[in-house]
Amino acid sequence: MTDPTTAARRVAALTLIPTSVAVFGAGLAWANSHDPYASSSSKSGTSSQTPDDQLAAAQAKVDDAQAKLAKLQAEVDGRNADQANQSAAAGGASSAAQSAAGAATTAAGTKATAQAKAAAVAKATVAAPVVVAAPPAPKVQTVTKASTKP
Amino acid sequence: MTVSTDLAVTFTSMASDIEIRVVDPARGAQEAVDRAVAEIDAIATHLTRFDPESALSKANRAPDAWHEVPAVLADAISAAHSAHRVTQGLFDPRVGSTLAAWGYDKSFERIQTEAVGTTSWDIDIHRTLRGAPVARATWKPTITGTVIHLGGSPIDLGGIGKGLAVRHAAAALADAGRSVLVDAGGDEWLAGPGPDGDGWKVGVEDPLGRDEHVLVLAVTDLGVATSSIARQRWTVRGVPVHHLVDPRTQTPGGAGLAAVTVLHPDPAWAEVWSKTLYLTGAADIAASAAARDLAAAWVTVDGEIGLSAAIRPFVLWQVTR
Repeated sequence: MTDPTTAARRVAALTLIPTSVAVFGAGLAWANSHDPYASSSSKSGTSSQTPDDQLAAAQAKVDDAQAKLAKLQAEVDGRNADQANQSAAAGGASSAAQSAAGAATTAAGTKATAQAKAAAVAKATVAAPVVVAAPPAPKVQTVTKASTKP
Repeated sequence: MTVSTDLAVTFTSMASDIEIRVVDPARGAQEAVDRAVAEIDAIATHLTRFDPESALSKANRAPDAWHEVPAVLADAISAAHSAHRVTQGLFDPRVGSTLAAWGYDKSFERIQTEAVGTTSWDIDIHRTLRGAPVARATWKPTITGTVIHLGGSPIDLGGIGKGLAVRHAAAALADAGRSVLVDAGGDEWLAGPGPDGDGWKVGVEDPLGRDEHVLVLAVTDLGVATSSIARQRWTVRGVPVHHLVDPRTQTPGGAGLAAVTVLHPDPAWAEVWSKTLYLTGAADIAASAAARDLAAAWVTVDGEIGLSAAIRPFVLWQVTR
């Protein structure tokens, strides 16, 4: 048989267990709220990204910028290839420049074309500097000039 | 196959190679060409100062006397007087005496081969080359029909004479064909649409001696004249001179300019304006051309090309340097 006093002590002890847990939990919460290493680095309190997440986001921005640069470079290369082709057609560039620029012009319109143009311009530049030639003088039928007067 | 039907004549007169060309000649074109040649020959015969027996030479020997002269000379003196008045004296045929003093009293080819500067002249060359303004009365010749009085000074009608020769030839060729060219070397007349139908293409010579033209003009029904020091330069006792004398100073004019080209409906006036614009010099030519609304192009001694607003519509091409 159980002694009534002993039973009362057991009931009291069981009652104190949740209270102790609650007090301990509150202590932990207070400690967390005052531990700088346990808080977010974001002052705004709106971001919950880890350093890895931030690095990934930055890398994505870099990739995006590089893609834009590549697109612009392809456009510039394409224009240069067209100019080289025109100069070659006017007789002002070497045959190498003409064929290279002409090949690049044929493939206009796609990213691959832009790359081909860039490569063609690079080859033409190496073969002979691209010079935009002035239009030749029209054929004349007479010349006004200094003369020996009587 | 295209068969050229042009009628072309070349000959030498007024110390220049003359060319007459008729594109798609009409009936009677050959007779018109013959008349044009005769007009040019008449000018060359009576207006030269290098033939002592020419009508001009005889008048120049007695400039204070009255002379009965051929009509072509009387007309030329009248035209020169008009130019003298309109240009306010900048065109002055009396500079011939200065040219003669510098040894240019013979054809230019002989100046280059003879020892210039060893002759004793009446005029002190070094004094005249200083460039100080020379006070001179307005030239006032008198022309009554074919009787003339030079007003006391011998004259040189070389430049305007060539312009007048082209004017007379152009009149003779008015109905000769679809297009006509008269080229007297420095003075031209270009009528009609030209051989290609879109204007005569006129190259403007580089006065600095480079092979490439400085301009190409497209011209229809206009006279073209160029005054340039590209050729007629020589030295007098070591002093460089040229044939474009400034009457204000009796010295070589046109400071900073190598050549001036003018387009004008009258080839004689094209000659007058090309010469007088040249004499204004590089600093003032743009303003002078604009004030007269002249179609003019010029090249400086540094090779810079200038264009008046009035000539820009005629410029088909300009050299790039």
